[in-house]
Amino acid sequence: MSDVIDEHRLYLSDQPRLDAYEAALAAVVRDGDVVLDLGAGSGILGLLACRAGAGKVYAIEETGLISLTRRIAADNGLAARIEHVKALSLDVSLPERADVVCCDQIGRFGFEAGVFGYFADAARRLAKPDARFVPAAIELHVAPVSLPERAADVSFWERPVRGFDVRAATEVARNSGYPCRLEPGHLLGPGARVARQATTVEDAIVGEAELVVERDGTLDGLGGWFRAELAPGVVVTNDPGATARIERRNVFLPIAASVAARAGVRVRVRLHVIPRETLLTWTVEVVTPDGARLARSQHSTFRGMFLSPEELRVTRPDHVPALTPRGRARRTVLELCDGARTVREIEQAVAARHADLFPGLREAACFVAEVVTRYAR
Amino acid sequence: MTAPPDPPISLAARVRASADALTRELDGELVVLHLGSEAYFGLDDVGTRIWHAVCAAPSVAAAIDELAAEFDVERAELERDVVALLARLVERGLLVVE
Repeated sequence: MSDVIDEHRLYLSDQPRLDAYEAALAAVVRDGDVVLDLGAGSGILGLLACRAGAGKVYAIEETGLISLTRRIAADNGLAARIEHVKALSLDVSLPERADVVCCDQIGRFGFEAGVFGYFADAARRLAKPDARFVPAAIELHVAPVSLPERAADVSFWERPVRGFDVRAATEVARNSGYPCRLEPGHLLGPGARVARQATTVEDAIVGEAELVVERDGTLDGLGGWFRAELAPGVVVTNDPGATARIERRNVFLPIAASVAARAGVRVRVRLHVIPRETLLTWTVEVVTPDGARLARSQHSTFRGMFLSPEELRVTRPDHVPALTPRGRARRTVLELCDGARTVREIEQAVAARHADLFPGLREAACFVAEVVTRYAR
Repeated sequence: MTAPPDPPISLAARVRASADALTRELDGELVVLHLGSEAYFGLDDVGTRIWHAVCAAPSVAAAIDELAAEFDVERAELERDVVALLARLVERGLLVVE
Protein backbone atom coordinates (compact mmCIF):
# COMPACT_ATOMS: atom_id res chain seq x y z
CA MET A 1 0.00 0.00 0.00
CA SER A 2 1.21 3.48 -0.77
CA ASP A 3 -0.11 6.85 0.21
CA VAL A 4 2.25 8.67 -2.15
CA ILE A 5 -0.39 9.40 -4.77
CA ASP A 6 -2.76 10.79 -2.16
CA GLU A 7 0.00 12.91 -0.66
CA HIS A 8 0.60 14.46 -4.07
CA ARG A 9 -3.11 14.95 -4.65
CA LEU A 10 -3.15 17.00 -1.45
CA TYR A 11 -0.14 19.05 -2.59
CA LEU A 12 -1.79 19.77 -5.94
CA SER A 13 -5.13 20.70 -4.42
CA ASP A 14 -3.59 23.14 -1.94
CA GLN A 15 -4.48 26.42 -3.65
CA PRO A 16 -2.55 28.82 -1.34
CA ARG A 17 0.57 26.71 -1.88
CA LEU A 18 0.15 26.69 -5.67
CA ASP A 19 -0.70 30.40 -5.74
CA ALA A 20 2.44 31.27 -3.81
CA TYR A 21 4.79 29.07 -5.86
CA GLU A 22 3.30 30.24 -9.14
CA ALA A 23 3.66 33.90 -8.13
CA ALA A 24 7.19 33.34 -6.86
CA LEU A 25 8.40 31.51 -9.96
CA ALA A 26 6.77 34.14 -12.18
CA ALA A 27 8.71 36.79 -10.27
CA VAL A 28 12.02 34.97 -10.13
CA VAL A 29 12.38 33.04 -13.41
CA ARG A 30 13.57 35.00 -16.45
CA ASP A 31 13.13 33.99 -20.05
CA GLY A 32 15.53 31.21 -20.98
CA ASP A 33 16.63 30.46 -17.40
CA VAL A 34 17.91 27.07 -16.35
CA VAL A 35 15.81 25.93 -13.38
CA LEU A 36 16.51 23.11 -10.96
CA ASP A 37 13.52 21.48 -9.24
CA LEU A 38 14.79 19.43 -6.31
CA GLY A 39 12.58 16.62 -5.04
CA ALA A 40 10.28 17.27 -7.99
CA GLY A 41 7.43 14.97 -6.94
CA SER A 42 4.64 15.41 -9.46
CA GLY A 43 6.80 18.03 -11.16
CA ILE A 44 4.48 20.96 -10.60
CA LEU A 45 7.21 23.45 -9.78
CA GLY A 46 9.03 22.62 -13.00
CA LEU A 47 5.80 23.03 -14.99
CA LEU A 48 5.20 26.42 -13.37
CA ALA A 49 8.82 27.39 -14.07
CA CYS A 50 8.28 26.58 -17.76
CA ARG A 51 5.15 28.72 -17.74
CA ALA A 52 7.26 31.51 -16.21
CA GLY A 53 9.71 31.31 -19.13
CA ALA A 54 12.34 28.75 -18.14
CA GLY A 55 14.33 27.51 -21.11
CA LYS A 56 15.35 24.31 -19.39
CA VAL A 57 14.25 22.57 -16.21
CA TYR A 58 16.07 19.76 -14.49
CA ALA A 59 13.47 17.87 -12.45
CA ILE A 60 15.32 15.77 -9.90
CA GLU A 61 13.38 13.08 -8.11
CA GLU A 62 14.88 10.20 -6.22
CA THR A 63 11.91 7.83 -6.25
CA GLY A 64 10.03 5.90 -8.92
CA LEU A 65 7.53 8.74 -8.91
CA ILE A 66 9.73 10.22 -11.64
CA SER A 67 7.94 8.10 -14.25
CA LEU A 68 4.76 10.02 -13.41
CA THR A 69 6.65 13.33 -13.38
CA ARG A 70 8.02 12.58 -16.82
CA ARG A 71 4.60 11.52 -18.19
CA ILE A 72 2.90 14.65 -16.87
CA ALA A 73 5.56 16.85 -18.47
CA ALA A 74 5.15 15.04 -21.81
CA ASP A 75 1.34 15.24 -21.65
CA ASN A 76 1.68 18.99 -21.33
CA GLY A 77 4.03 19.34 -24.26
CA LEU A 78 7.06 20.06 -22.08
CA ALA A 79 9.11 16.90 -22.58
CA ALA A 80 11.75 18.79 -24.52
CA ARG A 81 12.17 21.51 -21.91
CA ILE A 82 12.16 19.35 -18.79
CA GLU A 83 14.92 16.83 -18.26
CA HIS A 84 14.15 14.26 -15.58
CA VAL A 85 16.92 12.90 -13.41
CA LYS A 86 16.19 9.98 -11.09
CA ALA A 87 18.54 10.62 -8.20
CA LEU A 88 18.95 12.47 -4.97
CA SER A 89 20.20 15.95 -5.82
CA LEU A 90 23.22 15.41 -3.55
CA ASP A 91 24.39 12.70 -5.98
CA VAL A 92 23.68 14.62 -9.19
CA SER A 93 26.12 16.30 -11.58
CA LEU A 94 24.67 18.48 -14.32
CA PRO A 95 26.15 19.74 -17.59
CA GLU A 96 25.25 23.35 -16.77
CA ARG A 97 24.62 25.49 -13.72
CA ALA A 98 21.17 26.72 -12.78
CA ASP A 99 19.84 30.28 -12.62
CA VAL A 100 17.02 29.29 -10.29
CA VAL A 101 16.74 26.45 -7.76
CA CYS A 102 13.38 25.60 -6.27
CA CYS A 103 11.90 22.98 -3.97
CA ASP A 104 9.29 22.39 -1.32
CA GLN A 105 11.37 20.31 1.08
CA ILE A 106 10.31 22.53 3.98
CA GLY A 107 8.48 20.15 6.30
CA ARG A 108 6.12 21.29 9.03
CA PHE A 109 8.61 23.36 10.98
CA GLY A 110 10.75 24.70 8.17
CA PHE A 111 13.87 22.56 8.35
CA GLU A 112 13.14 18.87 8.82
CA ALA A 113 12.49 17.96 5.16
CA GLY A 114 16.05 18.92 4.26
CA VAL A 115 15.80 22.21 2.34
CA PHE A 116 18.89 23.71 3.97
CA GLY A 117 21.10 20.73 3.12
CA TYR A 118 19.82 20.38 -0.44
CA PHE A 119 20.12 24.10 -1.20
CA ALA A 120 23.54 24.49 0.43
CA ASP A 121 24.79 21.63 -1.75
CA ALA A 122 23.09 23.04 -4.86
CA ALA A 123 24.59 26.48 -4.21
CA ARG A 124 28.06 24.92 -4.06
CA ARG A 125 27.86 22.57 -7.04
CA LEU A 126 24.81 23.04 -9.23
CA ALA A 127 23.86 26.73 -9.31
CA LYS A 128 25.40 29.86 -10.76
CA PRO A 129 26.99 32.22 -8.22
CA ASP A 130 24.09 34.68 -8.58
CA ALA A 131 21.36 32.02 -8.67
CA ARG A 132 18.00 32.70 -7.06
CA PHE A 133 16.61 30.18 -4.60
CA VAL A 134 12.92 29.49 -3.99
CA PRO A 135 12.45 29.64 -1.03
CA ALA A 136 15.20 32.14 -0.30
CA ALA A 137 14.79 32.20 3.47
CA ILE A 138 12.77 30.44 6.14
CA GLU A 139 11.54 31.69 9.48
CA LEU A 140 10.64 29.53 12.47
CA HIS A 141 7.77 30.77 14.61
CA VAL A 142 6.38 29.51 17.92
CA ALA A 143 3.46 30.36 20.18
CA PRO A 144 2.35 29.25 23.67
CA VAL A 145 -0.40 26.68 23.20
CA SER A 146 -3.04 24.81 25.13
CA LEU A 147 -3.34 21.46 23.37
CA PRO A 148 -4.56 18.90 25.90
CA GLU A 149 -5.00 16.08 23.39
CA ARG A 150 -1.35 16.30 22.29
CA ALA A 151 -0.17 16.71 25.90
CA ALA A 152 -2.09 13.51 26.67
CA ASP A 153 -0.15 11.75 23.90
CA VAL A 154 3.05 12.68 25.71
CA SER A 155 1.85 11.63 29.18
CA PHE A 156 0.31 8.43 27.76
CA TRP A 157 3.53 6.56 28.60
CA GLU A 158 3.34 7.41 32.29
CA ARG A 159 0.45 4.99 32.86
CA PRO A 160 0.55 1.20 32.69
CA VAL A 161 -0.72 -0.58 29.59
CA ARG A 162 -2.52 -3.81 30.48
CA GLY A 163 -0.69 -3.70 33.78
CA PHE A 164 2.75 -3.29 32.18
CA ASP A 165 5.04 -0.40 33.04
CA VAL A 166 5.85 1.51 29.80
CA ARG A 167 7.48 4.53 31.41
CA ALA A 168 10.76 3.69 29.69
CA ALA A 169 9.32 5.58 26.70
CA THR A 170 8.69 8.76 28.70
CA GLU A 171 12.04 10.39 27.89
CA VAL A 172 11.59 9.83 24.16
CA ALA A 173 7.98 11.07 24.33
CA ARG A 174 8.96 14.32 26.10
CA ASN A 175 11.74 14.97 23.61
CA SER A 176 9.76 14.53 20.42
CA GLY A 177 7.86 16.98 18.27
CA TYR A 178 4.29 15.98 17.40
CA PRO A 179 2.42 16.76 14.19
CA CYS A 180 -0.78 18.64 14.89
CA ARG A 181 -3.10 21.07 13.22
CA LEU A 182 -3.03 24.26 15.22
CA GLU A 183 -6.10 26.46 15.27
CA PRO A 184 -6.10 30.04 16.54
CA GLY A 185 -8.09 28.86 19.58
CA HIS A 186 -5.16 26.71 20.71
CA LEU A 187 -2.91 29.74 21.10
CA LEU A 188 -2.67 31.34 24.54
CA GLY A 189 -0.89 34.32 23.07
CA PRO A 190 0.55 35.57 19.80
CA GLY A 191 3.34 33.73 18.07
CA ALA A 192 6.78 35.17 17.53
CA ARG A 193 9.59 34.63 15.11
CA VAL A 194 12.46 32.80 16.77
CA ALA A 195 14.84 32.55 13.85
CA ARG A 196 15.30 33.32 10.17
CA GLN A 197 17.90 31.75 7.93
CA ALA A 198 18.84 31.91 4.27
CA THR A 199 18.11 28.52 2.73
CA THR A 200 21.59 28.12 1.23
CA VAL A 201 23.14 28.14 4.71
CA GLU A 202 23.18 24.80 6.50
CA ASP A 203 24.62 26.15 9.75
CA ALA A 204 22.79 25.78 13.04
CA ILE A 205 19.65 27.88 13.35
CA VAL A 206 19.58 29.45 16.77
CA GLY A 207 17.17 31.98 18.18
CA GLU A 208 15.25 33.21 21.16
CA ALA A 209 11.87 34.80 21.73
CA GLU A 210 9.79 35.96 24.66
CA LEU A 211 6.13 35.04 24.26
CA VAL A 212 3.36 36.65 26.26
CA VAL A 213 0.33 34.71 27.44
CA GLU A 214 -2.73 36.87 26.75
CA ARG A 215 -5.48 34.66 28.11
CA ASP A 216 -5.65 32.35 31.14
CA GLY A 217 -5.22 28.69 30.28
CA THR A 218 -3.15 25.58 30.63
CA LEU A 219 0.17 25.90 28.87
CA ASP A 220 0.96 22.49 27.40
CA GLY A 221 3.89 23.48 25.23
CA LEU A 222 4.79 25.35 22.08
CA GLY A 223 3.10 25.31 18.73
CA GLY A 224 5.49 25.74 15.82
CA TRP A 225 5.15 26.73 12.19
CA PHE A 226 7.26 28.09 9.35
CA ARG A 227 7.12 31.08 7.09
CA ALA A 228 9.08 30.59 3.89
CA GLU A 229 9.96 33.56 1.69
CA LEU A 230 9.67 32.22 -1.85
CA ALA A 231 10.42 35.54 -3.54
CA PRO A 232 10.35 39.17 -2.39
CA GLY A 233 6.85 39.65 -0.99
CA VAL A 234 5.73 36.06 -1.68
CA VAL A 235 5.42 33.77 1.32
CA VAL A 236 4.12 30.28 2.07
CA THR A 237 3.23 29.51 5.63
CA ASN A 238 1.30 27.09 7.80
CA ASP A 239 0.75 29.87 10.34
CA PRO A 240 -2.59 29.02 12.03
CA GLY A 241 -3.59 32.67 11.88
CA ALA A 242 -2.72 33.31 8.25
CA THR A 243 -5.52 33.87 5.76
CA ALA A 244 -3.56 32.10 3.01
CA ARG A 245 -2.41 29.22 5.20
CA ILE A 246 -1.27 26.16 3.30
CA GLU A 247 -2.63 22.69 4.05
CA ARG A 248 0.25 21.45 6.12
CA ARG A 249 0.22 20.43 9.73
CA ASN A 250 2.18 22.20 12.44
CA VAL A 251 4.33 20.85 15.23
CA PHE A 252 3.65 20.59 18.95
CA LEU A 253 6.70 20.77 21.21
CA PRO A 254 5.86 19.60 24.73
CA ILE A 255 7.19 20.96 28.02
CA ALA A 256 8.01 18.84 31.06
CA ALA A 257 4.63 19.39 32.70
CA SER A 258 1.65 21.53 31.79
CA VAL A 259 1.48 24.85 33.63
CA ALA A 260 -1.56 26.90 34.67
CA ALA A 261 -0.70 30.20 33.03
CA ARG A 262 -2.49 33.48 33.64
CA ALA A 263 -2.54 36.39 31.24
CA GLY A 264 0.74 38.27 31.52
CA VAL A 265 2.91 35.21 32.05
CA ARG A 266 6.06 35.23 29.91
CA VAL A 267 7.31 32.19 28.05
CA ARG A 268 10.98 32.47 27.13
CA VAL A 269 11.97 30.18 24.32
CA ARG A 270 15.32 29.23 22.88
CA LEU A 271 15.55 27.04 19.80
CA HIS A 272 18.66 25.39 18.44
CA VAL A 273 18.28 23.52 15.18
CA ILE A 274 21.04 21.44 13.60
CA PRO A 275 19.65 21.05 10.08
CA ARG A 276 22.15 18.42 8.89
CA GLU A 277 21.18 16.18 11.81
CA THR A 278 17.47 17.12 11.68
CA LEU A 279 17.90 17.83 15.36
CA LEU A 280 15.87 20.34 17.35
CA THR A 281 16.51 21.47 20.92
CA TRP A 282 14.00 23.68 22.70
CA THR A 283 14.38 25.32 26.06
CA VAL A 284 11.30 26.83 27.67
CA GLU A 285 11.17 28.99 30.77
CA VAL A 286 7.84 30.18 32.16
CA VAL A 287 7.94 33.25 34.39
CA THR A 288 5.36 35.45 36.08
CA PRO A 289 5.14 39.13 35.08
CA ASP A 290 7.34 39.99 38.07
CA GLY A 291 9.97 37.49 37.01
CA ALA A 292 9.30 34.50 39.31
CA ARG A 293 10.05 31.22 37.56
CA LEU A 294 7.08 28.87 37.24
CA ALA A 295 8.75 26.20 35.16
CA ARG A 296 11.82 25.53 33.06
CA SER A 297 12.68 22.55 30.93
CA GLN A 298 14.96 21.68 28.08
CA HIS A 299 14.08 19.12 25.43
CA SER A 300 15.88 17.80 22.41
CA THR A 301 15.12 15.35 19.68
CA PHE A 302 18.63 14.07 20.50
CA ARG A 303 16.97 12.55 23.57
CA GLY A 304 13.97 11.54 21.50
CA MET A 305 15.94 9.35 19.12
CA PHE A 306 15.87 5.60 19.47
CA LEU A 307 19.54 4.86 20.03
CA SER A 308 20.78 1.42 20.87
CA PRO A 309 24.05 0.53 22.59
CA GLU A 310 24.72 -1.86 19.69
CA GLU A 311 24.61 1.01 17.17
CA LEU A 312 26.78 3.20 19.35
CA ARG A 313 29.34 0.47 19.81
CA VAL A 314 29.99 0.08 16.08
CA THR A 315 30.50 3.83 15.60
CA ARG A 316 33.12 4.26 18.31
CA PRO A 317 36.39 5.55 16.83
CA ASP A 318 38.37 2.69 18.36
CA HIS A 319 35.99 -0.03 17.22
CA VAL A 320 37.17 -2.34 14.43
CA PRO A 321 34.08 -3.04 12.33
CA ALA A 322 33.55 -6.25 10.38
CA LEU A 323 30.91 -6.80 7.70
CA THR A 324 27.79 -8.77 8.46
CA PRO A 325 26.71 -11.51 6.00
CA ARG A 326 24.36 -9.03 4.36
CA GLY A 327 27.16 -6.45 4.23
CA ARG A 328 29.38 -8.99 2.47
CA ALA A 329 26.59 -9.69 -0.02
CA ARG A 330 26.25 -5.97 -0.71
CA ARG A 331 29.98 -5.69 -1.23
CA THR A 332 29.76 -8.55 -3.73
CA VAL A 333 27.08 -6.73 -5.72
CA LEU A 334 29.04 -3.48 -5.72
CA GLU A 335 32.26 -5.17 -6.80
CA LEU A 336 30.47 -7.01 -9.60
CA CYS A 337 29.01 -3.76 -10.96
CA ASP A 338 32.23 -3.38 -12.93
CA GLY A 339 30.82 -2.14 -16.18
CA ALA A 340 31.18 -5.57 -17.79
CA ARG A 341 28.72 -7.93 -16.08
CA THR A 342 24.98 -8.02 -16.66
CA VAL A 343 22.47 -7.94 -13.84
CA ARG A 344 21.63 -11.58 -14.55
CA GLU A 345 25.27 -12.55 -14.11
CA ILE A 346 25.46 -10.58 -10.87
CA GLU A 347 22.29 -12.23 -9.56
CA GLN A 348 23.66 -15.67 -10.29
CA ALA A 349 26.99 -14.89 -8.67
CA VAL A 350 25.35 -13.44 -5.56
CA ALA A 351 23.01 -16.43 -5.25
CA ALA A 352 25.97 -18.83 -5.52
CA ARG A 353 28.33 -16.98 -3.18
CA HIS A 354 25.73 -16.15 -0.53
CA ALA A 355 23.56 -19.26 -0.48
CA ASP A 356 23.36 -18.88 3.31
CA LEU A 357 21.41 -15.62 2.86
CA PHE A 358 19.36 -16.30 -0.25
CA PRO A 359 17.46 -19.58 -0.65
CA GLY A 360 17.13 -19.10 -4.40
CA LEU A 361 17.86 -16.92 -7.40
CA ARG A 362 14.64 -14.95 -6.93
CA GLU A 363 15.61 -13.77 -3.44
CA ALA A 364 19.11 -12.89 -4.65
CA ALA A 365 17.61 -10.96 -7.57
CA CYS A 366 15.49 -8.84 -5.21
CA PHE A 367 18.58 -8.01 -3.15
CA VAL A 368 20.62 -7.15 -6.24
CA ALA A 369 17.80 -4.92 -7.50
CA GLU A 370 17.77 -2.99 -4.21
CA VAL A 371 21.51 -2.35 -4.46
CA VAL A 372 21.82 -1.54 -8.15
CA THR A 373 18.84 0.82 -8.23
CA ARG A 374 20.50 2.78 -5.45
CA TYR A 375 24.17 2.69 -6.33
CA ALA A 376 24.50 1.86 -10.04
CA ARG A 377 23.53 3.36 -13.38
CA MET B 1 56.23 28.44 18.52
CA THR B 2 53.71 26.38 20.48
CA ALA B 3 51.09 27.78 22.79
CA PRO B 4 51.75 27.30 26.50
CA PRO B 5 49.79 24.39 27.98
CA ASP B 6 46.52 25.23 29.65
CA PRO B 7 46.75 25.30 33.44
CA PRO B 8 45.57 22.03 34.96
CA ILE B 9 42.09 21.89 36.43
CA SER B 10 42.22 23.11 40.01
CA LEU B 11 41.07 20.57 42.56
CA ALA B 12 39.18 23.36 44.33
CA ALA B 13 37.22 24.22 41.20
CA ARG B 14 33.61 23.33 40.71
CA VAL B 15 32.81 21.77 37.36
CA ARG B 16 29.45 21.51 35.64
CA ALA B 17 28.07 20.41 32.32
CA SER B 18 28.08 23.09 29.65
CA ALA B 19 24.70 24.47 28.61
CA ASP B 20 25.72 23.41 25.08
CA ALA B 21 26.21 19.77 26.10
CA LEU B 22 23.24 17.45 25.78
CA THR B 23 23.59 14.06 27.38
CA ARG B 24 21.98 10.68 27.06
CA GLU B 25 22.80 7.58 29.01
CA LEU B 26 22.58 4.14 27.45
CA ASP B 27 23.44 1.06 29.43
CA GLY B 28 25.51 3.11 31.85
CA GLU B 29 27.49 4.91 29.15
CA LEU B 30 27.07 8.56 28.35
CA VAL B 31 26.66 10.02 24.87
CA VAL B 32 27.23 13.76 24.77
CA LEU B 33 26.28 16.06 21.92
CA HIS B 34 27.93 19.47 21.83
CA LEU B 35 25.48 21.83 20.16
CA GLY B 36 28.17 24.30 19.14
CA SER B 37 30.53 21.90 17.39
CA GLU B 38 27.72 19.47 16.43
CA ALA B 39 30.06 16.65 17.53
CA TYR B 40 29.15 13.55 19.50
CA PHE B 41 31.29 12.15 22.28
CA GLY B 42 31.06 8.85 24.10
CA LEU B 43 32.16 8.09 27.66
CA ASP B 44 32.64 4.54 28.88
CA ASP B 45 31.19 3.44 32.22
CA VAL B 46 34.12 4.82 34.24
CA GLY B 47 34.11 8.13 32.36
CA THR B 48 30.37 8.34 32.85
CA ARG B 49 30.76 7.80 36.60
CA ILE B 50 33.42 10.53 36.72
CA TRP B 51 31.14 12.91 34.74
CA HIS B 52 28.28 12.42 37.18
CA ALA B 53 30.54 12.71 40.22
CA VAL B 54 32.21 15.96 39.19
CA CYS B 55 28.96 17.55 38.03
CA ALA B 56 27.29 16.77 41.36
CA ALA B 57 30.19 17.56 43.70
CA PRO B 58 31.00 21.02 45.11
CA SER B 59 34.61 20.64 43.90
CA VAL B 60 36.80 18.37 41.84
CA ALA B 61 38.52 17.29 45.08
CA ALA B 62 35.19 16.27 46.62
CA ALA B 63 34.37 14.24 43.53
CA ILE B 64 37.74 12.50 43.72
CA ASP B 65 37.09 11.69 47.41
CA GLU B 66 33.82 10.08 46.40
CA LEU B 67 35.36 8.17 43.51
CA ALA B 68 38.32 7.00 45.65
CA ALA B 69 35.87 5.15 47.86
CA GLU B 70 34.45 3.33 44.81
CA PHE B 71 37.52 2.47 42.73
CA ASP B 72 40.39 0.26 43.82
CA VAL B 73 43.14 2.63 42.73
CA GLU B 74 45.81 4.79 44.31
CA ARG B 75 44.44 8.24 45.02
CA ALA B 76 47.29 10.00 43.23
CA GLU B 77 46.64 7.93 40.10
CA LEU B 78 42.90 8.54 40.31
CA GLU B 79 43.51 12.27 40.68
CA ARG B 80 45.75 12.30 37.60
CA ASP B 81 43.21 10.35 35.56
CA VAL B 82 40.25 12.48 36.63
CA VAL B 83 42.07 15.76 36.01
CA ALA B 84 43.28 14.53 32.61
CA LEU B 85 39.76 13.51 31.60
CA LEU B 86 38.29 16.79 32.84
CA ALA B 87 40.89 18.76 30.91
CA ARG B 88 39.86 17.00 27.70
CA LEU B 89 36.15 17.51 28.39
CA VAL B 90 36.69 21.19 29.23
CA GLU B 91 38.81 21.65 26.10
CA ARG B 92 35.93 20.28 24.00
CA GLY B 93 33.45 22.58 25.72
CA LEU B 94 31.47 19.76 27.31
CA LEU B 95 32.27 20.79 30.88
CA VAL B 96 32.88 24.28 32.22
CA VAL B 97 34.90 25.28 35.26
CA GLU B 98 33.10 27.70 37.54
